[in-house]
Order: sequence, then C-alpha cells, then structure tokens
Amino acid sequence: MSNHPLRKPSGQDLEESAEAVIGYPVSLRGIGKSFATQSGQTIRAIENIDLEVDAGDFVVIVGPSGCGKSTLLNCIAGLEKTEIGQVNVNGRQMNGQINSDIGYMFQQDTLFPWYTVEKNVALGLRYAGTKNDPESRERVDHLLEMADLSSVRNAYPSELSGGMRRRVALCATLAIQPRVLLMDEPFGALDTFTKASIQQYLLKLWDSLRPTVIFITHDLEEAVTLADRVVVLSRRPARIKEIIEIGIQRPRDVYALKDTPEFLTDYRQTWRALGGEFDH
Amino acid sequence: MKKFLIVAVQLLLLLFIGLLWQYGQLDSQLFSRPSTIAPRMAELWVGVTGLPALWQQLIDTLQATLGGLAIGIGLGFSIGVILAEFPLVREATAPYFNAINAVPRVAWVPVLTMVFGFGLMTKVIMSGLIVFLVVFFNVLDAATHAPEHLLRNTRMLGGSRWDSVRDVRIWAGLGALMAALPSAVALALVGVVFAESLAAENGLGSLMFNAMHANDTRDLMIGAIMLSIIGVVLAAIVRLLQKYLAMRLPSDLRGENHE
Repeated sequence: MSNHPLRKPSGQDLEESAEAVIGYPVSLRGIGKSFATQSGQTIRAIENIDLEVDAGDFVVIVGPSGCGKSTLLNCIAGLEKTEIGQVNVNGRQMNGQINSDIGYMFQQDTLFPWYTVEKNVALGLRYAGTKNDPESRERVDHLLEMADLSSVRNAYPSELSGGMRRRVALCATLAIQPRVLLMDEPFGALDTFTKASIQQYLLKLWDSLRPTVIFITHDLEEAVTLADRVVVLSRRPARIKEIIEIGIQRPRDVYALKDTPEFLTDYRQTWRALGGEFDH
Repeated sequence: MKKFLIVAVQLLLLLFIGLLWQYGQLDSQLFSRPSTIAPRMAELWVGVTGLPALWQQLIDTLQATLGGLAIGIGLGFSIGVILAEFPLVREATAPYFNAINAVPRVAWVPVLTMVFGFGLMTKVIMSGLIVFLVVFFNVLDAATHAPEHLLRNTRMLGGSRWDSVRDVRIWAGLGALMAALPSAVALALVGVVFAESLAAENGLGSLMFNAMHANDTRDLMIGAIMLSIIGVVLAAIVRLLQKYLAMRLPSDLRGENHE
C-alpha cells in the first residue's frame, strides 16, 4: 500500500536513527469549515486557520471545548473534507482522502477487543500486506518493548489496565510508521499518574521515530509538557488566537519538568492566552 | 450438595407427574396412560409395518433441523454482515427482504412442496428460511451499527472494506447471532415439524400428523416426547456455544435479540 523507500524499516534502524526525522511538514492554509444543524442553521466550526508545522515538530492544539479542534484534525486526516483552504502534507494536497502517511490516535478506545495485543499492534501492517516481513515483525517487537508491553503481547485488551490499552493503541498507530501522527485527546480519560506515565512513553517513542505530531488536548499542563509549540484556538468559530513557543529542553522528563521555571512560565502564558476565551 | 438436591427434586417431580398421569382422573381416550405408551414406544422404536422405525424418524427430524440451522445461520450471517458494509445494496434490497419477512412463515410450505416435492429438501429449506430471517435481520442490524470508532480506526490504518467486514462487522454480528441462537434453534424445529406434517412421509411431524388422523393418542404423545427431547438437547448445545462465544466477545457487543 505504501511505497516510501526512505522510510526506515527495521527496529534496529529505528534505534540508530534516533536523530533522524521521518516526519513530513504539514501546512494548513486558510482552512474553513461549517456544518448544518438539524434546524437548518449553518454553524461555522473553524475559520481561516493558517498553520505551518515543520517536519518532526510536536504541536499541541488547545481550545475551549466544542471549538472545532477535532474537525480540524479530521480535515488533516482526510476523514472530512475542507470547504475552504488547503491541507498540504509534505507539499501534497490532501483531498479528503485517507492516506497511509497519516496515523490517527482517537479519543475512544479503538483496540479490537477480539484480537490480542500483538495482533492489534500489527493490524495496520496486515492491511499493508507486510505483516510477515522480518522488518515488520522486528518493528512490532521493538514498539512493544519500548512501551513495556512485551509481557502482555498475547493478552486481550479486556485484560489490560486503561493506561496499557492506550499504550497498545499508540503502538498500533506507530506501527505503520506514520509521517504525521494525529492525536485527539488520546489520554483524556486517564488519571493523573497514568497520564504522566504514558506521556513519558509518548515522548520516548516520538523521540526515536520523530514523526510530526499534531496533538489535541484541553489539558494545559499536558500541552506544555509535550509541545514544541502550543496553538491556542478561540471559541467557535475557531481561529488561531496565539502560538506559544515552549522553551523546555528535550529530552524531557515528564515528572521533573513540572518544577522548572520554564514550565511554569509557559504554563501561565498558555493560561492567559486561553483565559480570554471563557465566559466569565 | 445443592446440585444433588435439585436433581432429586426434579426426579421426584417426574415421578409425581408420571403417577398422576397413570392413575389420575384423565380421559384415557384423549391422554394415553404411560403404561400403554411405554410398550408402544418400544414397538415403534424397532418399527411396525407401515411406519419407519422411531429412531429413524428421530434422525430424519434432527437431520432436517440441523440442515436448516446450518443453511439459515450460514446465509443469514454472511449476507447480513456483507450488506452492513454496503449501504447502497442494503437499501436497494431492503424492500425485498421485508417482503419475504412479511409472508407468514408457514405459508411457504405449499410453495416449497411444489418446487421441491415431498421430503428432506422441503423440510430443510423451510427450516432454513425461518432461521435465515431471524439471523439475517438481527445480524444486519448489529453489523450495520458496529462501533463507529473501530470502523474509522480500520480506515485510518489503511484497511479496505473487506478488512472492515472481517475485523469489525463480523464480530459485531457475532454478538447478535449469539443472542438470536436460542430462537433460531426453536424456530428451526418448528419449520421442520410443520413441513413434515404437511409435506413429508417421514419424521416426527408426519408421525404425529398421521397419529392424529388415526386417532392414536399414544403416537401423538410419543412424537411430542421425542420432539421435546430434541429441543432440550439442542438448547443445551446452544448454551455451550454461547458460553464459548461469550468468552471471546466484549460485553458491549453481546447483542440483544430483536425478533
């Protein structure tokens, strides 16, 4: 299905390519989208979004709930068509069609309950017809190992904790080696401790593969912890209100960084940017 | 201990009913006593002139029931799951399935007899048709409303429509099949017995139908007893199957029976 000779195939290469970036740049130009309600009204969900995301960047989008964040992500994924404007991934225009360069980790639990952890992780590879290639097997092994899931590879999702299930979902999304990783509030349902732990896993995996990440959350702490840049959206119709550069050094320690002055500064700045968007 | 007590009570109940039946104030013309049924049953088992052996009849009925179940479940499940993935075909064919479903089940017997004649084929197809309708509509509904996020995930991972069927819809349909199985089994037997009483020379249905004409209440009772044994055994098999499937399906997909 995919034909990307540049893609680093094997697990071994992944380790060696810690510095290499496989991500593609994403550029959004003048994106607008509206939808009709049942009573026939037209509601503008997003309006005139311009955003350039560099290859291998980690961008987090925050905004008031219901502001059209997921719609924006769906447009990039090709699940929804943009009405106005263009989505370009690596210079190629997306036409509301699904593309194997893009991985999408959804808010809901998307594991297939009837398949084991290993089978879940390898699903995208099976679809691509490369499941049994030695490098595919190696990649799955490598991902499972990095996410500390090797011991449960033959378990079913119902036997795992919430945090583990999300890690499996993350590995499944990464197994197809997406150039662009879209994440829609992926850890929203987790408790604070589990969330911190999986954030650390995410940063580790992102660091080793370096896809471009566009991550949506309404948790500002999470946004500042993970992002290179935090994009603050306004209330509906969503527009970009502010973009905050996060100055925290990488690689990051999710637990230790909360105490650093950089974190506190960026966290406050993000709050202030978003603050104006609430009803008082 | 508890189990033993239950079995003991059940046996006592059987004895009580048997005694009441044997010595109670019943019209023995309408309800043959066990003392007359038992020897008749032994006689029928090996066969009397003009009638196939009882064990043969039992096998005939069981065979047709299992055949009907296999055809009905196989077709109902696969067509239901596939139509769920293709909304255009589903909507285009819906009126026809609804029309077939609207015809009272038993009204098919004369039609099928015309086409397939007296015998096994008519029984199996009659039974298969009834089972098909139950399974098809339940599976179609469940597979059509399969979890949307799993379908989207399949697409995002690069899966084709066939992959959606195999990885999502079949499993959603299995839950519905599981819920529909008990009624499917019961209805399969109904279909066979009905076809037998109208359009067959063998099987328990024909035994009972002939007994009715001959005013033989012993044979009627024997037929009923045999059918209830088949029904109980099939229901037990279904429960085992349900248990097995339940282990592999998450609770939110164990569907409801909509029939």
